[in-house]
Amino acid sequence: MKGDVDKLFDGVRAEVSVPESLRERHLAAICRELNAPPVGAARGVSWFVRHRAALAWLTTGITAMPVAAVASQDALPGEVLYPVKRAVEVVAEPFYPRIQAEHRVAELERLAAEGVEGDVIEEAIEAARAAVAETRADDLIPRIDEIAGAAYVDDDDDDDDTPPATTGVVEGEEGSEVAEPSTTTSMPASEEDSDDDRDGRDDDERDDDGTDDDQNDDRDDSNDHDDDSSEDDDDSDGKKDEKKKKDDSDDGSDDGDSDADDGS
Amino acid sequence: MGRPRWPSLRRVISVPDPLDHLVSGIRERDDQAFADLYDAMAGPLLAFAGRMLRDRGAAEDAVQQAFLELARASHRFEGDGRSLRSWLYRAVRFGVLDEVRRRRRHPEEPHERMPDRPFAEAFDDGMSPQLESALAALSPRQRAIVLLRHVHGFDGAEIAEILGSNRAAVYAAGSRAEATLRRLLDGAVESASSPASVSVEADVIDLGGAREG
Repeated sequence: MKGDVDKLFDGVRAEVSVPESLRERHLAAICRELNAPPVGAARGVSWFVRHRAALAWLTTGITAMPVAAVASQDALPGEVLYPVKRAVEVVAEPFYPRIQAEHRVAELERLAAEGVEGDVIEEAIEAARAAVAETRADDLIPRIDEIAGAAYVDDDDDDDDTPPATTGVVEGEEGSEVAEPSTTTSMPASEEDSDDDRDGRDDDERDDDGTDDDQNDDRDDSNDHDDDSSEDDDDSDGKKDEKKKKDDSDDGSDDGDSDADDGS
Repeated sequence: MGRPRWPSLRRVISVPDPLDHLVSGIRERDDQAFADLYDAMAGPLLAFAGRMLRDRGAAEDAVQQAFLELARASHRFEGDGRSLRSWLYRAVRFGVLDEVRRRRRHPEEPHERMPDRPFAEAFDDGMSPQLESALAALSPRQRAIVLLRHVHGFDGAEIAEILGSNRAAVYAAGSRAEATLRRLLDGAVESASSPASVSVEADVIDLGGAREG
């Protein structure tokens, strides 16, 4: 079958002659295409060459960042690199506010030594006060006040500003010192209380599970609660109330006696 | 590029191909390698495109487009001389399909529906007028399969790769085409009418199937 079809194509040539003019025309077009600048992701152009602009910017940025960080360490408020310095401090020294406060005061003193005036030094004074107030570095306050007094001659606002800042710091310290012992003493007490309460409730539940509606068990219950309440008397009143509420909520139905006992 | 599911026998035992030594030059976009490839392949490609399109000018355009496409994509080419040959035929076939599509869009344009003189004479390809008109009656896809198999000597897997099809479909379409061809040639002996008038309609009607295949 296939053989006779093959016989049909016996004299058929597989190619035709290409005239020289056509060949020249085609080869010229092919050479143009070959020598044309390659389109897109062409061969031989590496990734680094194609992205050279982005890589240049990236390299510049990576190099410039530490340079700017180092160069900014001597910057003063009002200079171009000063925000960089503050940003570096935020990143590098977030847990040492004392150092930042000292930096602020040192900047302030250098500004004053250079004779800078106006908004710049006012902002520097504000920043130093804020940093000092944050770290409770009271020993730095006189140095600020000295420069502030020189900056504002006979300025009432300045005097008004300082005392609240210092008193605010002192109050905060006192408050924290007073508050802390109270919390430390109260926490273990409440824990004990809750433990006792939990023990008592467990007893109640065990009794209830064992024998229901038994008068003796009820009496035991009431005795337990008497012990609890006698312990509660040592604590403050607020906790007793809390405990009472807990008893109400926890011991469901058979609490008539215990409530009465608590009251007496 | 749709690859055949199983490699052809030629691929397994790696018969050396006259185009093998050009592959590296093609990949490096070497002018001389492209010129050599053109000298080796332009004739067969032109014969294939010309018999597909029955239009010398359009066939030349299709061949040029195939080489230009290779010049654009040569750095991505992977394979040996045989697959380079298949690549070129595939590119020419895409050019042929574009031309057929263009004819369908502009049917009023005068193209070589019925060449005044026999196409074989204009083309100088040694094909008998009977066979030529019988081929013209086939669909473009069937004609491509018959030409590639019997004239250009490709095997089923390679034809499937050129047409972007699979071997089973190529064999089925090829045997149908051969049956049609035999029937037409037997009939042509009796009535020497010109079956070439069927060709244009066949081009248009079978285009959809050819594109899918």
